[in-house]
Order: sequence, then C-alpha cells, then structure tokens
Amino acid sequence: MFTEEKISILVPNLLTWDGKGLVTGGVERYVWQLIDLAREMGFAVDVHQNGESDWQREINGIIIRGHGLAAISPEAALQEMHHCTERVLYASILLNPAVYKSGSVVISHGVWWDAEGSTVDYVPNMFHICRNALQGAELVVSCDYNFLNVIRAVQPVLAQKIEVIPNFVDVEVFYPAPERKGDTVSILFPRRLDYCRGADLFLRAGREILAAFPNASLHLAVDRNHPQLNSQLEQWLQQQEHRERIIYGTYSFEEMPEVYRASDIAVIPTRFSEGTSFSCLEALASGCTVVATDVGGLTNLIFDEYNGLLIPPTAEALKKALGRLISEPRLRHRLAKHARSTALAFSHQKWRSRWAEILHRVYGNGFCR
Amino acid sequence: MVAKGKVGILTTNYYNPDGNRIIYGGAERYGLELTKLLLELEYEVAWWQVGTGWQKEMLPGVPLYSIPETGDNFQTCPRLNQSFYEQAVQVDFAIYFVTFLAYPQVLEKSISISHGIFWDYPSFDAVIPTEELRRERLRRLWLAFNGPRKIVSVDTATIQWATTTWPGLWHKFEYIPNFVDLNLFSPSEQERKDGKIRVLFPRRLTSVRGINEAARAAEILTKKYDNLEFHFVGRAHDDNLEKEMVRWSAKHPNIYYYWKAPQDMPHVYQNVDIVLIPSKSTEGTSLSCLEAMAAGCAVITSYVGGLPNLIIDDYNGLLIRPTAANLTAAIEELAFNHDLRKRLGQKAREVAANFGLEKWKRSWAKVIGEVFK
Repeated sequence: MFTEEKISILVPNLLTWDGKGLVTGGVERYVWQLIDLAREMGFAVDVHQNGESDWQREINGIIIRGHGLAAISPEAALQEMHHCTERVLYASILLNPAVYKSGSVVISHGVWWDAEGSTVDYVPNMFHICRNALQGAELVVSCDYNFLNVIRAVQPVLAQKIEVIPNFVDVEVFYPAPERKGDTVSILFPRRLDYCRGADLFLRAGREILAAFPNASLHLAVDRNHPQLNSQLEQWLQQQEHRERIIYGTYSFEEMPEVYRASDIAVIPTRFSEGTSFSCLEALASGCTVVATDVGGLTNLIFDEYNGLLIPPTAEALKKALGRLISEPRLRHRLAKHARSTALAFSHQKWRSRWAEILHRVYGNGFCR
Repeated sequence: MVAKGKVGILTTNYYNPDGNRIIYGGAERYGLELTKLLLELEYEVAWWQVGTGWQKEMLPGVPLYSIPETGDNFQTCPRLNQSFYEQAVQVDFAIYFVTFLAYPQVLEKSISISHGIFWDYPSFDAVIPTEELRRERLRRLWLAFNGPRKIVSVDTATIQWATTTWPGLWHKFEYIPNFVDLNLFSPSEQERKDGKIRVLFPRRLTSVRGINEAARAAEILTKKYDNLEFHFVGRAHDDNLEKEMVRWSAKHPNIYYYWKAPQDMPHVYQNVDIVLIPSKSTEGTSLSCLEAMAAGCAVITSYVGGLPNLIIDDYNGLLIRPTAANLTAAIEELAFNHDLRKRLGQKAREVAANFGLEKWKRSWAKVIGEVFK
C-alpha cells in the first residue's frame, strides 16, 4: 500500500486569526507556492497557524488549523502544533526562541530587525533568535544573500546551514507593455503603506517631482490593511496642488500585472526589513525602470545604472533619481530593457526546481511505500 | 596652485612594516587610485602607516610616513590611531583606510573605508574567544563607526551587517562598489580554436579565497578530461607555499602555477574561458571578479560578501556555495556548454561596464565634496 509522506507547514498566519480571510503578504504568497509544489511532488500537506480560537478550514483540499492557544501564549500554541504534527517546515523564523523539530527546514525572508529606534536589548535578541533557528534546523532557506552574509559575520559555522533561493517572478504573467508611448512618465509605488516600505519617502519625493515635471504622474497601488493610514493618505492627497496627476488605488493580485505595464518607473524605497522583494521582481519583469534602495536583498537584484538605480533610503536621493530618469529617457529605456532580461534569471521554474531538490533531500520522496 | 587642503590617510600596511616590499593586493590598488583622485581634485595627500620610522614617497609629492607603533588588540590599533592624530595636526581632512583605524578618535572632517567583512570565518572564534571580549570588540567598532562623517563601503553586506548590529547606523554609509579599468580589461578580439578550455584562479593562494577547493576541482577534472587546463595565477603569503604550489602543479598535467605582474593580468584573462572566484569569507566586491567580468569571462563565484552585488546567478555568472563538489559541477557545466559560457561572459562584460573606474571616481568625488569642506 502506498502512503504519502506528510509535511506540516507552520506559519504565523496564512489566514487571519479568525480563520475567515486570506492574508496577502509576501510570506503567504510564498507558502501557497510551496504548498503547490510539495503536493505535486506527492507530499501530503497541512498547515498550522495562530488563531484567536481553535478552528479548522479546508482550502483547495488543504487542511488549515488555527490554534487558539496563540491568543494566550505563542509558546503554548507552538507546543501544541509540535504535538499534533510529525515532519515540519517552518515558513518563517520563530520569534520566540524554541526547540525546533529535528529534520526541519526553516525559511528566512531576509533580516527584519534593521529598524531604527530599537531598544538596546532588541538586537542581541534577534541574533539569538536566528542562532536558535540555525541550531535547530536541518537547513535554513534564505530568500537573499544578505541574511546569509549577516549571519556569516556573526556565526560563520552555523551560516553553513543556509541555502539561498532568491524569490521568483512569473515572467509569463508579468511582461512588458508592447510599447510605451507619449512623453508622459507614470511613477508607481507598488507596496504596502508601511513605514518600513518607505511610503513617506515616495510621497515627499513624488510631490516635488510633480511640481518640477508637468509630464510626470504618480500611481499609488497600496493596501487597505490599516484604514487609519489610508485616511491619512487621503487627507494628504486633498492638499496636493497636482492631485489630478495622482492615481490612488488598491488592486487584487490579478490586476497588478496591468498596473505595472501601465507604469514607466516603479519605486521600491524600502527603509528596512527587506528580502528579494516580489514587488521589485515583478516591476523588473514588467519592464519598468526600477528605483530601489540599497537595503536588504534589493542589492541582490539591482546593479546600479544597469537594470535600475540603487539609492540610499532618503527622499532627497529618490527625488534626484526620479528627476534623472524623467529627463533622460534613453537611460530609462536602457535600464528597463535590462530589467526584463535580469528578471528572467529569477523564473518561477528555477525557484521550483531548487525547492524540489531541497524538499526531496530533507523530507524524502513524497510517495513512498 | 593652492591646494584645497591637505588629506592625511592612515593605513596599517601599504608596505611591509620594514618598508622593503610593497604589498600588492586589492586594497593597495584602491589606495593608489584614491590618492590619484585626491590629487586630481587638487588636494595635497600624505599617508601614514605602521613602520620603524622610515619615510618614503608613494607617488611624486605624496609622502608615506611610518609610525613606530605596533600592537593591536580587539582588532583595533589605538596607539597607531593616537600617533596619527597627534602627527596630523598639519592636515585638514583624514581618511581612515580601514574602518577600525578610526578607533578611538578621529579628525573632525574624516571618512573611513570598509573593504568588506573580514571576520566571517570559523576560526575567528578563537581570535576573540569569549563573549566579553567580543562585546569589547563591538564596543570599539561602534566608536570607530561613529567617529567619521561617512563610511564608504565597497559592498552592501557590510552595511547590512552594521545596520543589523546597530540599527539606524545606515545614514553613515555610502555604498561605492569597487571598480575596474574598462580600457585595460576587455574581451579578447578573436576566439581561440585550439579546442582547450582554460580555467583561471586569479587570487592569492589562501584558504579564505578557496584555493583548496579550487585545487581539488582541478585534480578531479583534469583526470577526467584531456582538454581542460587550470591556471593558478597569484602569489602566496610566503615562499614555501609558492614552492609547494610549483611542486603540486608539476605533478599534474594541465595544471599550471605562476604569477604575473598586475599590468600583465588583462592578457591572462583574455586567454581563459572560465574564471573562479570561490571565496569562503573575507570578500568585498572583488577586483579580480570585476576584471574577469570586464574581460568577458564566464565567472563562477561564491555567494560570499560583496560577490552577490556583482553577480546574479545564471545571468552574468554562477553564484554557488563554495564547496569542492559544487565548484567541480559548475566548472563541468560551463566547460561543456559553449552557449551558456558565451551568454554569461557577454552579460558579465555588459554589467561590468557599470563598475568602471570613472563612475567610481565620480561617486568618491561626491563624498569627498560633502565631507572635506
């Protein structure tokens, strides 16, 4: 008789804590892709996550269990998840030091604690959390080379457990517009309204760009996860002299390829906590000219003045970069051309085959006797 | 002509401390280009380093003084720093050529340089073996990082390490990747048709550069294929190692060891197909890697330090974990896939064009203009 080998994926929240809504962030997209791959390989997969109560849902044949203990104690919820699972894959590094199950893969989505204004004991704690994950894991898959470099500078032996698989982009779905016509320049911000994502840098630089260049327009493609941020943004918009040249919207994942295709420039002005950003890869694949900051994994995607511009995370630098791209169309087009060609090196297929090799190596064959 | 001011540069070793032999590595070439740039920008320049008190001229009109202070602890040189500070009353601006030289005090208008993370190897644990000593090292580095107005970093790995260790420090950093002279290093005009595939290891023969892994791969692959040649081109730290290398290569047909003066290196690159940069640690945006790219070679690099700032895997080179097995497989893949080799080489040259010396000078001139005024 054939039985399937099983992998339980532990993730903070693939669904909202009440189990009713999908959470749509980079980590969650990553996990859905990994679930698809593992099932195609013949693994049985289920998901365990934090909940506000105990619940169970089935989506596309995948059982997702919410553990209500999380509302009281994350440590207890983790213990419970460990008790009711066998082989485990941790979708992100656990933020509370814990004993990982042996023979597990842990995913790192890049360093996250490089934020200003941290408390004194915060950083040693974060390194402790990483060390704990590296000691417990069979191997850690990192989405960028920066996490690896940071860990190697602190724990060179443990760093040997890290394999890098950069994030991916579906280059069939995200492709360039046939031809960008006219002399207008549309500048896109395709990120969450979050301080770490540099939304304010975009607004400050963007406002001056609108004043200086009558042919420029801004496009904010943002989330609505925190309504108070949206209302702040709406207030800001009302005060703008050039409001008519600013588009503001929230789009589904399916609508995003068109949003990118309608844009000439895409801005990824991250301040901290960044890996090999899906947004950056999608902008590259869509043939946008990318302006990204020299933060986290973005530096593994952009060569300055080759397939984009790489700037420090300041409004001043962003304003200069945008001004330069608007007034130098030839530079803009050259960068856009290389953007698409570099994106092809991050194909979904390549990501899948790297991951398939790792799942096979760590968790076995999928189907087994 | 009145200079805009005098710049004092403090380094550890441009020459050996006895003053007899110039140390010719990437950092020293960096120093030379930086000096030339400062002169072009109409600054006066003087260098200081460790030594017995001798004085030399590094370039016409650029003195190099030596300071008879030795002894470093926690990887800093406080006494050298202090002597420089006292002697540098005559200078207006300072460049600390290595970040840790800026401990404990700096001139008001100063810049330091990070050439990459250099402590990311396992045996470093024994260099600074206890938690207490490590804390002291970090405390000193923190002071060294805070002193200068700007820190120029050759790669983003160092910046990322610093901002994960001391969040908020990012504003000190300027990322200026290393450079290659695109006129000197260019692809060969004609394709060789001798049926040989030549693999080059153009680095210093040290463990951190992956010499052992590269040598192992060379042994395996030359046994397996007649048309593969390996060229190890670089000096070791001492004569014995170099002799050992000569003996080893003599035992293996198709493995060669020699070294060339820097001005002969462009020609070396033009005669090879594949270049290995398999560093295990202590790596920035390697000059050798940039030179190989500019020469249109297919490069196989490790994912260490600044190398991921130069290479996107399978786009303009291969980016691997530096084990002998991975290196062997990667060489094998490239050696027998002419099209892949060509594609990677072409893209390497294309990307290298954005790391030209002129761009490097513009970036540095901007930082100098901001700080030295």
